[in-house]
Amino acid sequence: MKKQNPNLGKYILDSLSIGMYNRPFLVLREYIQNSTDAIDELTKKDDLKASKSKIDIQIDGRTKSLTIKDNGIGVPANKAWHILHDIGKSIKKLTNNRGFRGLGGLGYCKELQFITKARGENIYSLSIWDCEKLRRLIKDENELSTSDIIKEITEFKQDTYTESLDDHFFMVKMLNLQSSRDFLLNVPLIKEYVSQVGPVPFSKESFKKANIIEKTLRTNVPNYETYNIFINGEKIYKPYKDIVILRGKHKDKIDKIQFFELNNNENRLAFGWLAELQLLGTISNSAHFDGIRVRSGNILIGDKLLLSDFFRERRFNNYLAGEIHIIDKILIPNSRRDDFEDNEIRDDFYDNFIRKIGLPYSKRIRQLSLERSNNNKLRKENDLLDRAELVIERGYYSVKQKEQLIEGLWELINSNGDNSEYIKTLINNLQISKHFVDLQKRRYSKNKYKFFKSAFDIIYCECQNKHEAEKIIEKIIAE
Amino acid sequence: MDKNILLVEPAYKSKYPPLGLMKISTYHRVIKKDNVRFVRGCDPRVRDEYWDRVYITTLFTYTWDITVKTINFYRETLFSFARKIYIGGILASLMPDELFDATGIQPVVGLLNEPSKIEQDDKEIIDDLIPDYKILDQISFDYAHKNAYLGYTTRGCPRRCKFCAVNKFEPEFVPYIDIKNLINNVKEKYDEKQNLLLMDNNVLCSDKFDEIIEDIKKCGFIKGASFGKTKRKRIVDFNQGLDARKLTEAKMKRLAEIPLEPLRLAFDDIKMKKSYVRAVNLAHRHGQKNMSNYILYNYKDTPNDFYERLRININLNEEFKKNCSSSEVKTTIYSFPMKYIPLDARKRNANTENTHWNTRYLRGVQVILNVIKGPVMPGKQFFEQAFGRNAEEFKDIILMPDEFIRNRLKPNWNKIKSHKKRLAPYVKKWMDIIGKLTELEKSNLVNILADNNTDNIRKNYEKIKNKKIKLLLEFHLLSKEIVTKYRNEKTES
Repeated sequence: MKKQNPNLGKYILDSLSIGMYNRPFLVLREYIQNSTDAIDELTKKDDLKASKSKIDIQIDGRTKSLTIKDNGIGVPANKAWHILHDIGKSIKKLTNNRGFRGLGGLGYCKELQFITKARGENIYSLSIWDCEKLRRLIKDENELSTSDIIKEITEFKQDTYTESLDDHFFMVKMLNLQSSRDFLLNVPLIKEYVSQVGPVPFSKESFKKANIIEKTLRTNVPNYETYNIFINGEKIYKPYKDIVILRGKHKDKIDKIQFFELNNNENRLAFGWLAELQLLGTISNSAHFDGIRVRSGNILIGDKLLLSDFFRERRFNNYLAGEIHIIDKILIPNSRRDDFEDNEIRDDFYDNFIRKIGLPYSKRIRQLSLERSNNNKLRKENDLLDRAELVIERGYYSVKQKEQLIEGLWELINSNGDNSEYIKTLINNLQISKHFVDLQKRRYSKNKYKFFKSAFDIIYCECQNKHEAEKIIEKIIAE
Repeated sequence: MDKNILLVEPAYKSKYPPLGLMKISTYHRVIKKDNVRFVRGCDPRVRDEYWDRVYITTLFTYTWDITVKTINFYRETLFSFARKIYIGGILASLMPDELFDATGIQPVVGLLNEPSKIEQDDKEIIDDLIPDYKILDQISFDYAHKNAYLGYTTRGCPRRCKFCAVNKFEPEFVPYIDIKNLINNVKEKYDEKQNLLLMDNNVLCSDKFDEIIEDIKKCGFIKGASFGKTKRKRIVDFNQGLDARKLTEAKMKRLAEIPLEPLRLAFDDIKMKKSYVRAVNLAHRHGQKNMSNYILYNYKDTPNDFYERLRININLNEEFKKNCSSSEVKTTIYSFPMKYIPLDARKRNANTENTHWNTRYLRGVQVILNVIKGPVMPGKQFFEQAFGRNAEEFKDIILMPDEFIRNRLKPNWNKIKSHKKRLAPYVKKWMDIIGKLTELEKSNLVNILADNNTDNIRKNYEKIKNKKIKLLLEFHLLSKEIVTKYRNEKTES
């Protein structure tokens, strides 16, 4: 049988846009990635210093629009139509693991525009995509092919550029944004997202280790680069800070950085850094840098939990802060960028991570937490003994207090066994100990005596925190 | 070099050290200079370490549950990197696809006789390596046969018995393996072992049998040989048994030259009676004092011929006793009943096609064996006490409730001469009633008890009219109470 031309149906468009970027922020990530590619193309020619590169994100609440503009290489006028309208032709460049994908925005606005100009040309190109029409045509019953639909919904213009001939840029405009819960208009959330996902620099102001990390990454990770990204005028940095807020009351500090390499038999696969923390607990969610995060081309792969599966307990990942930057060209992010393409190198990468970080840190975290809980127990036990001795000497404030102390001491005997002779003496002495007021009887009038006894009882029984209760009672006595 | 290798034996009961893992250990520890660790069962302590490879051995198919659980534990321990796990051994060789379905890991089938089976980067034949005895020190579990050279002088078996798994994992009969090499190496590298344990499946079929005996003797296992300062007796054991049909005068003469203890024969089928009895007498004539006998049941036999085979051994023992002068050590045969379990059974009590046996009968035999702890004693009196005086009585006994079988005798029974008077009153009653049943009534009773299911017994008890059967069923429903009550009365008086 003769081979026939297969038909590419219109649903391909659907899967390349709405289907693939099922979360609105992923669109943002793809456009940022395109911009860094365009900037890299230009830096390769040494036309532009990386420090002068700029990716500008403007979010306008009044017009409900989002614009991403970069001063990268731009698209020359004679290539613009093809580059902006051909689908699936963009070369996925193995050299930097990134590639042009432009259609993600189709799913989240009514109109999508690409505007671009290359240096030295006095023409700019504009491509307008009617997203509402696209959705209608996909839903309708018709026999249109993908290219039929693109012809239907796009409009292409070129015009004279009146400003500087030297200008070069690429701009994506999403007009009339429609995203669930208006995520694409949520400026604080987008800042948080870009600071954690985007290829932005460390903040030298709030993170002392920024310089050393930046320097070491540059020498060890080829292609390592940071980009100046602005959101409504504010420059975005990675969220790392010297002070680490932990969940609960504790705090920790990043004083020392450890660098490591992941490899298999033949290749260096990745290079990473890790803050040397005391491993007291999980880092607070709100710090936005908990967990070791994986980056390729300095853009996050997956989310902060990508590596959690490779610890003995998933939460152990959140005890740590650090980054792993992918080196190897065979370790390619999958098209959703939530993990790598499935191959043996991927297994090698995770396996080496388990060996160097996942298992040793799981072990350490568990040991430390065991030590802490033992210390904690010891502290509580000592506290109990101190209080018992105090009560014996000075008298108790409430029968309830005495009973609770005796109960606690019995538990101690049952759980440890050792030192029990001493504790049994304490219990005996407690049982024959007297009420504080009884011991001070002479100092109080009959009425005061009665009042104190019942007041102390009430305070002690009603207060949840018995330490607090004792403090209050002591204050009353001091008065 | 310097890889971390974990060897795992699931925590099933085992008398024999895991020879396959021991050979793999030699490959990794001695040849490859890797770090080797050996554990039994699911050991949480190894979860903190990194492992390059994990080898898990398997044994009987009826250890299925614990085996699958162990494999899945280590799979999880390795963060699901299944490509690092190698499963081998008997269960894996008999049921590779079933094991794959349960674990997602395709096991290695058969012997490790090709380097490609575990993706070796060299040409070492692991099956030919000297087992590493050192790893046994890493665990607290004590194998009964730790102090022995473990090996083979032949591999496989030329016979193709349907009930036997040997052909599945050792399909080719290898008639000669030089045992001297193994023994000298173990002696040199580890320590000298007192005994020699040979796991040959059918050594008598080897045309190099004479050489094998010579090899064994050259290694110091000559009749009367002793070991160590305390002069303990050295022993050779072909522990998988010898083929009675192949035991010739000449071969027995050679066997008599080594300290074989015991000589193990199989009595798999009553049809083998003639050749079996001939072999036992032949061994006896050559001065073989200690014999042991595997008795397969639940395969194609009946309870009657099972009893018959046990009885034949008792009669042989009686004969040996009669013709033995008081100064002489008398020849004895112990019987080891072995229940047939289908080759792909995942549980010990799997169903077979054999309709002569049923769950109740099998359970009854098991209870008797539990009480006598395995081997059937050679003495006639004990035997008749345990298994009954004839096949009919045997079947009446194994139909009893477990509790009755376990507590058949009065507490002071050994002071009572009459067989009947020794029985506890409820047992006597059971035997009286069951003895009075017609053939039809008996088969009715067997049908009700066959699947040994209490609910089923209760249902039948409620609807049955026949008074005798009803009473016997009542015994089954109330056995525990009856026995406890009798015991309490006895201790009070």
